[in-house]
Amino acid sequence: MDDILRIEGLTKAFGGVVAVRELDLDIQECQVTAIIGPNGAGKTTLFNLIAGVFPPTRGRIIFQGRDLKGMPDYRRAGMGIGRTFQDVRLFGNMSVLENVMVGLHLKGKSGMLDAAFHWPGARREEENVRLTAINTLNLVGLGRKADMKAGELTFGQQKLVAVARAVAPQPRLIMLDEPAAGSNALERMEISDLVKRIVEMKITVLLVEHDMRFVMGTAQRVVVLDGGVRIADGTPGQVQSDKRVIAAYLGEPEARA
Amino acid sequence: MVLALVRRRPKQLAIAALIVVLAIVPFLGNAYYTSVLIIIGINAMVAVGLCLLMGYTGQVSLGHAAFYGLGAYISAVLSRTYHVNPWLAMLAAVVATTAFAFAVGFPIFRLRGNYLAMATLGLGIILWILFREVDSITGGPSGLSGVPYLSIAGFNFSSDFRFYYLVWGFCIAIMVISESIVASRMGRAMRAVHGSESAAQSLGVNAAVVKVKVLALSAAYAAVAGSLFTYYLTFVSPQPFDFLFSVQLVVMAVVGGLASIWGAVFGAGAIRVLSEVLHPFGELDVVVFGLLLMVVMILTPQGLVRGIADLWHRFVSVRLAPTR
Repeated sequence: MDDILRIEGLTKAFGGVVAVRELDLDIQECQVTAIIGPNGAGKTTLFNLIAGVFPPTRGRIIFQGRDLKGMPDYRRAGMGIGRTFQDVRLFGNMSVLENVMVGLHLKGKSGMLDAAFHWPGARREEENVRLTAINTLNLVGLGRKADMKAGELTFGQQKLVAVARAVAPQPRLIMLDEPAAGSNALERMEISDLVKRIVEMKITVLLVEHDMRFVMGTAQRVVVLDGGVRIADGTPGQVQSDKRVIAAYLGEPEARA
Repeated sequence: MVLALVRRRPKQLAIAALIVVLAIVPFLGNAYYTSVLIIIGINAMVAVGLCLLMGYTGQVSLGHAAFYGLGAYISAVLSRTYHVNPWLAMLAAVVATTAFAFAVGFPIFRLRGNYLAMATLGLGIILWILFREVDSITGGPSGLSGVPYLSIAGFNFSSDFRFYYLVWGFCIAIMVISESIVASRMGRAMRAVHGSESAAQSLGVNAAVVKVKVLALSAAYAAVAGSLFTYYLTFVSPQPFDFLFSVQLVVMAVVGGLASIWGAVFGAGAIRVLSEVLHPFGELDVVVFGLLLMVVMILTPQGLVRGIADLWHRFVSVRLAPTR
């Protein structure tokens, strides 16, 4: 399988704190890769680097053969990189449907003047965008909540809308930051199914998650970070029995003594 | 039938109702009401633009009087000093003010929150000083008189009666255009930037460009309003474009409920009427506006229109409670 994303010698330092250190990582296409690790391991920093929220201190990110150096985040979205946030960040005052329609921003072209003068092209485009948004909401099972204010949904539903918002434009790569956090066991199963359906849409999934059962049941590959460094990488089974992983999660025997 | 219409097309119906009411007022024969409503219409255009910027896009401007003044001065100078056709002068004023907003927009929106407020405040003050001090062009503190009337094929907009319809024609056009924009792809991008800039950018929305475009649009509205203002008075001077007017515009937008086009028009009306009422008491209006701003922000941050609507709902549900 081809690599959709190559990361070479990636380092990010915030002042004296090194969040990601000399990381090399290749992500295979149409697969679910989970990034796990204790708090402060650099997982979200890695997502932000790939999404272009801030530039790396050193190193390269190559997406579909193209170096993303210097490319701002909104242009990376256009390249086919989508994401969700740990703290959801829905547009609370907009309807659920409108949230997903913002996700389709780049699928439309109409600007201020098209809207001001009701040109027919803009109206047709609007209809198409609305239809795609409704279909995507049906995918996450929230089609019936389309007209509700996004801020009025439960936390779990809000997370699903955030996924729909990111999936709607059919990106090549989607990064899900803790999609199952704060959900109950049943919801976690539904989200796991949703992730599998997203992969079937030929979208590569990179996810950060703390819930081990979720990770083991969803991902084909697990990468473990600790202190910004990769300490393990393999199938869920391999990683689960890795001594260094257990040490990172439970603390070194010496440190505990 | 009527009820179904109210439910299905509330906006269109409200606009129709507004048009009917506004159309009747001049026939009441009260010259004072007509003149106050002309000023309300002019202020409302600026307030609607500010509402798009502050309410929908979430970017504060404490210097909007600058764009209003720039529109007024360009129209006045071109039509009076250089004898350009007043309509052409107005078009030039709108184009130039919009271009100016684009030019200052990119550097100014590198700032956020309080810093953005300070920068826009500075912009307003700088332009106001230019209006006062560049005597040779602007006529200095005493201004320029003898600005021509607008006219179409010999029909002069020289009376309040005629000018009233011109102003409200423009104002309603601006309201309708703004409503369409807010509901469109661009409007969603604006509201997304307000909701979460980082999330909007992750979806491909270039927040800086959205902000600058909305600033430019609101500057264009302000320039239309400023031009009409100067053709109405056939006179221009720096005083109406000072910092206090920028603050008044913010109060109009806030009182009306920031994210509501209709609210902005209502706010413009309420503030204008209030300052007419307070006129005999000198500068008391400034104190009252300050208090009003605080009270609205604390009690009904959604604005007075929404606040009153909520009160009404509560009143109705209390009245109906015993029968349930």
